[in-house]
Amino acid sequence: MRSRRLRTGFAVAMGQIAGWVSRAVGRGGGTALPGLVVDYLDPSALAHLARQLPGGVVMVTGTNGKTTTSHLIRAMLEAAGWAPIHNASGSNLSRGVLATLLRHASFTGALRVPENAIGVFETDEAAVPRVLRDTRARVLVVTNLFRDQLDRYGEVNAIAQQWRDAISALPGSHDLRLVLNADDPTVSALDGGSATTIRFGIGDPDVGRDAPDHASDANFCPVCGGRMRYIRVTYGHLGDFVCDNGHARPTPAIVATDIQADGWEGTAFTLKTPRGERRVSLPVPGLYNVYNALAGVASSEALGCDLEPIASAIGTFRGAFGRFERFTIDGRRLVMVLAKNPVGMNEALRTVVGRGGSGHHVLVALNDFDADGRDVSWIWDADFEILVGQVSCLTISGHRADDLAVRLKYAGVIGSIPSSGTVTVLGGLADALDGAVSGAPVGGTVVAMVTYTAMLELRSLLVRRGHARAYWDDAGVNSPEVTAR
Amino acid sequence: MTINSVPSSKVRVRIGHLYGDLLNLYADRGNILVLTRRCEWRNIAVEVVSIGVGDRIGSGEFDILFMGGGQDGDQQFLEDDLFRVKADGLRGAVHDGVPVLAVCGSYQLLGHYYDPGTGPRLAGLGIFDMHTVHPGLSVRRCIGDVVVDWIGAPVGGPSSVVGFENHGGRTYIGSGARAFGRVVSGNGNNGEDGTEGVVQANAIGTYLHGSLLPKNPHLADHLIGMALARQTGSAKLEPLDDHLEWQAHQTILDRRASHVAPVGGRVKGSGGSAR
Repeated sequence: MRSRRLRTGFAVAMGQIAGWVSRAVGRGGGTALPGLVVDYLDPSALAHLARQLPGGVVMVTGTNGKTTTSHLIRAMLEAAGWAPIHNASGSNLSRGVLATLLRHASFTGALRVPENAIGVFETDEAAVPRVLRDTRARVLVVTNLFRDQLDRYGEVNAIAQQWRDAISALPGSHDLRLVLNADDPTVSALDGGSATTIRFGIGDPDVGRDAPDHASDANFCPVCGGRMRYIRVTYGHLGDFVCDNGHARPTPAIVATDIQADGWEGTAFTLKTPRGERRVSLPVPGLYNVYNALAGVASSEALGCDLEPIASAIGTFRGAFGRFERFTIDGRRLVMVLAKNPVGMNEALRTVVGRGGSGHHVLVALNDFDADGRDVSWIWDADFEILVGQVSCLTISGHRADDLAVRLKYAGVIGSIPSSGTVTVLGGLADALDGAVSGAPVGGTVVAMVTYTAMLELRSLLVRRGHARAYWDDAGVNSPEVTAR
Repeated sequence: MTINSVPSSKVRVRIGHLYGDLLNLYADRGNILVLTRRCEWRNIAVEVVSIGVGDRIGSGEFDILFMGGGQDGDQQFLEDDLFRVKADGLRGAVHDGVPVLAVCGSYQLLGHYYDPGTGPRLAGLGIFDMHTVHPGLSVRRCIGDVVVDWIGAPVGGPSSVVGFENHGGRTYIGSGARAFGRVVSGNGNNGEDGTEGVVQANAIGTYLHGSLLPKNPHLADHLIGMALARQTGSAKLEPLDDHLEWQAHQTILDRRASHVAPVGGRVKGSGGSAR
């Protein structure tokens, strides 16, 4: 035991040095490197540190909405009197979780946190087995499971199986509560019928359509393999469903009804929970953010929080970096929307067009680095057709701008741009941004729909120009202590 | 799903999309969209019919058949239907010279067999003289950009074909089949013998998606041309402005020159399909 402590202490010291160096040279604020160093020196450090958290750990995973949901949970838990320790930068592999803990660790490997500290860890889909096992998380939140980076993760069924295996491999003493999206057939069935699961879903019959998107990943029932039929689709393959053999969507405990979108300003809805009902206004647009808010409420319910502070945290939520983040540049508004897979892109597109009007100024950027996924096929599964007739100035950018241009041609978007408008294909993001902004009238809005590394690149450009704060500053990563309430 | 356009000539291209509502991984929809648009832009009447579970493929019913990839679970669900309901029609269509494009998972299904390495061989339809062996999950999947030299490319035109591959199984073609192309970069059928895909009559099987046809307009037109030739005797097509398509094609060719090792991306966990 003593030797392990010493080992962890040494590893922690080395990791903290790595973190200072990383921040000093300005390369990503030390959001992962210290974790990488420590994990290498002492693979047991993650478990050792995480299990010292007095409030335990809440893990958030899923294809889309991990970052926003974990930011929401952090805000809700702060409002409820907890002191969340959160990997807010989105560094979500085990090394990122470890790096977050290291900022609160002493050189002896002891965690120095307030008594009301609780871990809120966004976790990459592939890192779930390791982080779940090591941190002994008390709550695992799964937002959804969509097709994303097939080259990296494999197909969605394979990921669901990894998660099921990880959950069933936990020791009997590990008391895990699952928070699952009732509207996602695969996610909803992850618990194998456990009574302690808390589900969330949308219960508004006026929201959505009657057929899934082209990019649907849930054609078959995850329980029996029968054909899945939808009564209502909110987006992607989420909705109200029943299979040929009668396996239906379970009734969620946390529900949003009477949903009203208000352009870029956000969405109002009635929140129904076992603790009562509230009308809330979420200041971030997009139906998927309603799901993220519900996931947050369900997590708070799993931890036994009162409804009042949770509902008020929804109303004051600021959003996470790069997710419908708004900037002002030379008198124009830039709205940056992360869109990294077909379903995310479809919802971004619907939010743009759903605001009504036409003549939108749109920038779309496609990169294919590892963090984006090297396979850009997915753009053919996204419904860019939604933009036909809606855009007056279109800027196409990123390392794979050429692929995107072909996609937008076959979607009919390029052909639908009026002769007074412009189509620009420009690989370099800085030039593309300048062109898109200067092409918009003063007081106008440019919507930038961008993949992950394009978002980071654009954002760091805006930071250098003084339009935004670094994401690790914004995330509070540099602040040594989280204020306890 | 049926897409109709106004017929302006006697010829009509009827595209059959096998399990179009179920097998749609790796953006197979892009291939169908490209075939459809390139007919429409030339005022060739075109119709896309999704051939679902239980539907037979009638003789002469389709001018082009397309079959994409699916998730493993989905694919097993379909195999029964493929053997009982589709096999005869599909075999007949290939025999009759109907242009067929089978990508990735369905390419494997049309061979003699698939050996998962962990259990008994799974029989294929045997339309293509080839078989596939999975070397085990510990062996690296073939993932990345691929450039091939298309053996049957129309004379006088470009012969490079570019795409993206993501498969665990290694495919070996028999003496009765020709390869679709020779691998210039990437893995292709098995990463060993330099072959990619297979051609039998007018049917093409390939691992390339990405989607395949958007960045390879010459291959899309080859399929449309063969379909028209069977009706009119001439495969001649009006040229289109393809500069965006060729620019995207060229980007992949250029990357090959500038990238050290674009293929064989990392795979996390035990991940990926068994295939």
